Amino acid sequence: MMQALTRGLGALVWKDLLRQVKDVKGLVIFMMVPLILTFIMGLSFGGGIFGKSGISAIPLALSGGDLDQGLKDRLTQGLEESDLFTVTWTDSLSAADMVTEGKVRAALIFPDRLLERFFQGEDVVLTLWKDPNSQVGAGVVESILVGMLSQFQASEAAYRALWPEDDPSDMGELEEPMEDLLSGDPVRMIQMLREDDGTTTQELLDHVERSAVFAQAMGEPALPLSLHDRQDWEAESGDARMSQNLYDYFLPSFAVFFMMFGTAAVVRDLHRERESKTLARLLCGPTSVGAVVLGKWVTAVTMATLQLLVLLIAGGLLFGVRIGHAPVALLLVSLAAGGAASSVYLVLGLIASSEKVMDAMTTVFTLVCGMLGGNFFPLDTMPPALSMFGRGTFNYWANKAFSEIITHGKGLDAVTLEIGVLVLIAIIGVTVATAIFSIRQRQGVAA
Amino acid sequence: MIKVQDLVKKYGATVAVDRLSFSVERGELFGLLGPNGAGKTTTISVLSTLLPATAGSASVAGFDVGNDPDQVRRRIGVVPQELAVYEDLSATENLRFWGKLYGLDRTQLNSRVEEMLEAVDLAGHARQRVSSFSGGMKRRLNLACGLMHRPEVLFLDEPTVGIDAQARNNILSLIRRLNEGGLTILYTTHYLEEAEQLCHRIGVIDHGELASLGNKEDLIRQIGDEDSVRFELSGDHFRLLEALAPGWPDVQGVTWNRGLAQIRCHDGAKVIPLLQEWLSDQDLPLEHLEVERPNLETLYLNLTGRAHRE
Repeated sequence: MMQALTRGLGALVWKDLLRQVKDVKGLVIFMMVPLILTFIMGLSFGGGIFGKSGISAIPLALSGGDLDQGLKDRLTQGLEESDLFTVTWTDSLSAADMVTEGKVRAALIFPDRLLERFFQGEDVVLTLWKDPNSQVGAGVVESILVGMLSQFQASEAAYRALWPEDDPSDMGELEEPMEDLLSGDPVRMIQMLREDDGTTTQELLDHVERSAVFAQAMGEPALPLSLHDRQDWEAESGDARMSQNLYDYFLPSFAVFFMMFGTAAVVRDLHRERESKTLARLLCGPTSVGAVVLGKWVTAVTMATLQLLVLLIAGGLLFGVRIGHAPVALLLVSLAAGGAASSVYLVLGLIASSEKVMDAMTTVFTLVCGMLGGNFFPLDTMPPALSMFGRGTFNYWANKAFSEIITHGKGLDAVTLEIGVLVLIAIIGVTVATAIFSIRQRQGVAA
Repeated sequence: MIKVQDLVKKYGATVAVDRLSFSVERGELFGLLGPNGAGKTTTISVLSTLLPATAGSASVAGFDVGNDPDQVRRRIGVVPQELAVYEDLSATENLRFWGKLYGLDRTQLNSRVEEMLEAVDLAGHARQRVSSFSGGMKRRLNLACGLMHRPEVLFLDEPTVGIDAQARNNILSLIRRLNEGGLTILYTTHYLEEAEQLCHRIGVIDHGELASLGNKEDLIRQIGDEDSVRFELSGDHFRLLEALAPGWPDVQGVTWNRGLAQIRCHDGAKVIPLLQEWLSDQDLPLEHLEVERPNLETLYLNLTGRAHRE
């Protein structure tokens, strides 16, 4: 039975793979176009050997002419150490101009005498200039700033509610010049305040200490939220590199999406063989219908797996996407994803009456599945009902498996369910395709 | 080697093959002659197990095409009318593929590929991509692909369509050599001269029915064996000839139409000297002389009511 099913399979796979390899234009479209697009996307989101890019190095201008140089240096160091910003200090007018000219994504303007005025209870306003053409970069600056100010505002509000007698507006003039006190070193500042015997200074010291206590309290939420990102698993795996890479999130879905189109193109050869009558000639030969279907499937799986691996390896080598920790898992997921995709497109190819019909069908199918399965945007942004449909697509399981490995740094044990589902889809697809082809052959319409 | 009995193939309400019966002996080169749409390709498709028959029976090499298709497929070679070769591969790669498909081992494969490339005169283009081949080269490769596994029966479906005279002659001589080597061949064509030149027996098919069957001489006999001698002659002189010619040996009749006289006779070669002598006596030249022997063209017209190029 098995021998009859696979008779001639080796020759068919050899022929189909040889044809794929010798079709230079097809190979360029199949391999190079996704690679080029991935490269462009990688440059936008990634970094790797091309240095930092995307949200990892947002140019930011700061303006605070009367801030102490030590404080400025500490602020610059703190921002740049986060890897999110490259900081330029300038005056307020130049900072605004730099935003207008697109030299920086945002400019933060500190008002004159910021700390002195704040501790005296005056209203102070921070100004943020955002580049409207950089929603992502400027948005990151804004959201970080808003978060910090919210926390600060909450602690200040709580302080004033609990100790209304310490209202800074009743404190009068500060006795010590703030520039002497605020040297930029918070520890030094506290020490200087402690050494001062003045009442006002003591009040200020109390204010600062209580604020610090409340700020700390506000920063520790009652219901902790555990977030795991790249840094967590890199630390676990002992990798010293702690950089963030947005491309880790995008590459798997790009790769799966390109693989879907690529697989459809390989399976389309079934119709070309039908039109050139080589399929009819094959069916007059000693090979079985099952072998013809399996031959196309094996070829499509091989090409799909190769395409996935090439894209992932390129992502790893060029953009630092994490692929090295679980090579077996990546290979098995690629094979399973290629197998599932090939069988699904094979069924579509056999249902379609011609190459043109198949083109239209597979394009629509790929786009719809791409949307439903999470290749365009995350499933958790969809309504629950639509998200359920997404779980019915093969690419959802492929995306999920790749994300577990690449984005979350997990291994083979974490993706066995996904691999199982993909293999099941592949088996069902090949069985259905063979059944359709057999029926067509018995009816005399297979070729 | 091939037996077809009351074979019927319908596509919905359309009857493509209608109670067709014929047989082909081992080593015979059998021609199935008919116009486009006559049912030739459908017949080959049923015999090569590609299409199921609607009714009737057919067997190839002793195996029923409906019940033992696998056995039939192992014994046949099919050369379709279309160029069913992989144009993105080389000639060698095409041949290797078909050889591998039929289970030839490496040694057999290598020697057979070389042998077939020589046979179809493509050895000098073995590694060339087929897409760069001329029509004739592709046709020859198409034929070679069907011969790689040394089939017992070869189905050739109009293998010379769309190629020039030289390429056609090459293919015809190759087919003749294959048949002389003992290969049984079912050859379909709508070229009368090919059937005349090649085939031992010819079945004329039209509208899916067998209109006539026999060897070339049998078929010609069916439409009589009269030669037709035609030449230019004025109406006045024809009246003189009309009175005289019926007295010549074997002459069946004399007709004239628009300056062209026609003498129907059993043997034109015997009449022509008498005609030349009479024209000389009349001091007339012999102009535009044509002698037409009965051929498949005539038969075809008689049987199908159509000229063969329709």
